[in-house]
Amino acid sequence: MPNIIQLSHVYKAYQLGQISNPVLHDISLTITRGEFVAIVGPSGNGKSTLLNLLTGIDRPCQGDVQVNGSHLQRLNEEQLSAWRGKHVGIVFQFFQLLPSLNILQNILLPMDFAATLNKRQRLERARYLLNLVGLHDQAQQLPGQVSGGQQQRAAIARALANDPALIVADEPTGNLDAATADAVFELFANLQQQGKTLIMVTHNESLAQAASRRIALYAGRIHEDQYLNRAG
Amino acid sequence: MLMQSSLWQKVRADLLAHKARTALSIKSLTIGFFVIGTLLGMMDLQQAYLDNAHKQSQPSHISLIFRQDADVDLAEGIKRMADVAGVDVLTQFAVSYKTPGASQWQTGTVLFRPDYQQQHYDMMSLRSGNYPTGQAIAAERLTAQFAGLKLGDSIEFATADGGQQLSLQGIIRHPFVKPPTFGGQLYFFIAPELAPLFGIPAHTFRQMLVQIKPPYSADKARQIAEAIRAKMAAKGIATNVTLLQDPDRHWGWPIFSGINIVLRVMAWASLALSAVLILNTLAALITQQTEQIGIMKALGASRWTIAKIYLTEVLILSLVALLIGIPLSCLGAFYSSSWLLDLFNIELPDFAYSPHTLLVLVIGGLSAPLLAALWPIWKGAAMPVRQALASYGLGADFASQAFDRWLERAIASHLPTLYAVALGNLMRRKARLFWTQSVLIIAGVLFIVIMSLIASVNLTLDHELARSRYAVRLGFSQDQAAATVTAIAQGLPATTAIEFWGRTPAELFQNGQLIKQSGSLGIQMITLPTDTTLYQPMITEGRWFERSDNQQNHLVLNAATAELNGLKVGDSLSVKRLQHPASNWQVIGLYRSFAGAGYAVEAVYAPLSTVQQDSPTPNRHAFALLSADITTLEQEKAYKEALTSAFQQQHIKLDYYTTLAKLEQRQFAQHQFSPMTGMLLGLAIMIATVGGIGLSGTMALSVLQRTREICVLRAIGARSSAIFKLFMLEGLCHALLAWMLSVPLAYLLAEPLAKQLGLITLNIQLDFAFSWLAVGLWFVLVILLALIATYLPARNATRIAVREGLSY
Repeated sequence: MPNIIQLSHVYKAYQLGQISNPVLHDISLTITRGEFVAIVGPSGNGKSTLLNLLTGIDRPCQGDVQVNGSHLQRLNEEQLSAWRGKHVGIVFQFFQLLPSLNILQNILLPMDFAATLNKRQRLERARYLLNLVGLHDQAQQLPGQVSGGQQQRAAIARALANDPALIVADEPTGNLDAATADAVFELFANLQQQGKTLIMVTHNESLAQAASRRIALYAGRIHEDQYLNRAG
Repeated sequence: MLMQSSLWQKVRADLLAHKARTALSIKSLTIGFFVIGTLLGMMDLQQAYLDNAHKQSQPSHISLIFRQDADVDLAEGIKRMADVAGVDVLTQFAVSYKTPGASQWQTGTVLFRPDYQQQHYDMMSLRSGNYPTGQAIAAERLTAQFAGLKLGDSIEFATADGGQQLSLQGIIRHPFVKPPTFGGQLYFFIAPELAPLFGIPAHTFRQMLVQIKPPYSADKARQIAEAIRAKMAAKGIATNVTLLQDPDRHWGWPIFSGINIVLRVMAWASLALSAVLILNTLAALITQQTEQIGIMKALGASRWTIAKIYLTEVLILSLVALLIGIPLSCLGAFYSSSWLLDLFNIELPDFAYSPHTLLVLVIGGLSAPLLAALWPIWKGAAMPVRQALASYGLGADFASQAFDRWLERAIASHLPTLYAVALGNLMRRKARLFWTQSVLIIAGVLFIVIMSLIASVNLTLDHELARSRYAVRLGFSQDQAAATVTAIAQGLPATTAIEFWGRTPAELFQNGQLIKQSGSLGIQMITLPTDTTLYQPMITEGRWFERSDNQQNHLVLNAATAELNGLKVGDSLSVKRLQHPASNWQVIGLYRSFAGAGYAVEAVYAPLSTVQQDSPTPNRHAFALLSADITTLEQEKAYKEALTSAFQQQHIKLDYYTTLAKLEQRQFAQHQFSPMTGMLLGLAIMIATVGGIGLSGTMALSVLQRTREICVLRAIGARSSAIFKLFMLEGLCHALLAWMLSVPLAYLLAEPLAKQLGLITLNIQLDFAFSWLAVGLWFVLVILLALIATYLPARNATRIAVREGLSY
């Protein structure tokens, strides 16, 4: 399988006044299409920074970040927004659904931004995704009217709206109870089977063990990189 | 409010770490202080300087304008009358003049006093140059400003000997001239020795200024005026007009009262706006600090400790805003008052401020934000730790009310997603929405009301003119024979009909008491043919004259005067005309005076044939009303000029003040009202601008509070254009909602408000017309306002980097 992510000698530091605070040191990493990667490690060791770099939310100080054929540091903010809309689906820990839009409209939103489908096609796809995540009955509900688990499933459907090759999730089950977390994880596993690449930051070691690859970060370096039960 | 150093550090960090939010808070508070300080300061300065300037000019209590030139020695006899404290005399007359570079003759007023150094009443003070002497003249201060005249300019006057160039050597302030910007004439002053050049005999006067001995009362002044008129009449000098003046109140007081009402409304609107700005800013601050409140409470902070931190922040913000707002509002009040008072010929000193306003600003400026902040802070400080720490998401508060769910089902779910987000965001902070809308709605209603006032003025003028079917009304300096006037007027081919009217000063008594007048310039009996076809006022009660009224003692009275005295149709009044004994007259009708109360001569209509019965000169008349084949202002001007010239050739003097051309009169009336309506419109636009600033603040806060939401949108593929559009749409939703709500409200309020404003500020009874044009204009204005107000916040929203708000 071809690579979807290639990081070469990536170095990232945050400037705090006069002091430069390094977060990631010389990270080189390759992820192939269809992998389900769990990134683990203690807090403050660079997991979120790594995700920020992979989604173009932040830029490296040194090195190259190539995702789905694009060198992200060569794109400006505007190009990055459009790129993310097409190529990456992000699932946030706190769901981050727009409160004034119903669940269906929240899923339509990335498709409206990308404008690659016509109105009828967008609606059909949104309904298909609602079915996929089991929320077809909640389409007209506002986020405030559904449970946390349902909100997270809606957020996953939203992440899939433009059929991105890469899904990035930050602690997607961190705010959910155990049963709901299992259901969400199962959804991720299904997506992997459909050929999506998934990268998930988690503190939940048992979830990480269920992924196809486990990368442990420690002090800004890749401490462990294990292939578990590789699929695809 | 003693606090530990760590809490001081937090206050400091809150203010310094979020510079944009701090700057926005200070800006919002400063705008509120500036507007309120300016409006209150304006009212204070106007009130103080208006009456002060009036008193300084030593206003005459009685001013009598005579029909003939009287010898100055006659004034000595009046001075010796009981209860007369003193007398000054002067002469005013109409002239034709040309300012430097002008090709057309204009009509202005020339005034002279026997000795400019010995003025006692209505004091005309030298502002620059010299009082007039010899061939040197002076111009009134407002005249010089309006016409751009300067010392040394040469002005040509039409004199008995032809055109005469006179040099301008002085600028004088006359306390009682109507400002040229309000339709007043240009005023010039000459030395008394120059009077014969204009056909005025030397050592004469036409106007007498009298102060009575204290205590002053209007009734006492009226009685003395009557005695003076009788004394002058005995010497063969008839009185045309009698003016009574309140020594404590400037003549512009009614207009300023109107302006002050508008300013007061504006101050309230601004207060509401300031409250919006303060509440919005603080609510945003608390919302942004929710997580920190949770952390502090988790660490053991009490509700009061937390409230202290934020109240201290508010106090610091208020102090900084006051330091900026106070000098700005002092300057604003001074310059706006200077401009307004200057229109009334009152100069302010180099700089003036109102200590009262300053005190109100300091006390209110420190306490009002604290009071406004108290509730959101106290409520925020009471938030349970669990709730405060769980507020990481975009907020699920939207669905908490049935209205939100209805809005989503009924409207938002049918809209494209971006429009639905904008509409939802508009409705998310309902208190903020309410206050922002209030200010925009107030501005919209005021704008439509004032535009309706202007439309009503035009409609009233149209109605009034429709009742006037003459082209020109000629007023003669001395009554003229009907045959002579007819021969001259019919010499002009355009003339189609002539009608003669008369006038005589009269006093009306009810049960032996002089009736109260609604006009301050005295009552004049206007006598006219009962079958007049050229004019009929609007009759509100009773009837207008018929042929059967010929030679009857019947009157048609001003409705305002009737109301003032409790008079009804059918009542009897005793009428005393000049040089005639009192006789009984019956009121047969009431008319509505277009000019309203105040600075106007009040007409009482009576049949000409009745007055002719005991007149020694029944065929001599004060007015001739001419109808003519005229449709345009130009034709009317040419006709009037031809008439003036024809009468001049026959050595018949026309009285400038009572000679009117209908269309010219309409234009003049419109010009007369335009500064006031313009100012009201300016104030409405100022409120709208302040509303725009409020909207801008609301949108800026929206951007600050929704940083995370913007970042999420960015993360799911929203480009800058989509973010920009989202906020612009929200601003437009504000504008549309404000427009939709202000139109029905304005429709309900426009008639009573416009009529009241018409009475207070323009002093006229209006026929009402709702301005649909204003509805359209307000739509355009409020949309433009929203676009301008939202542009910067929306642009700032596009510049938020995703990493600023998303820390996963």
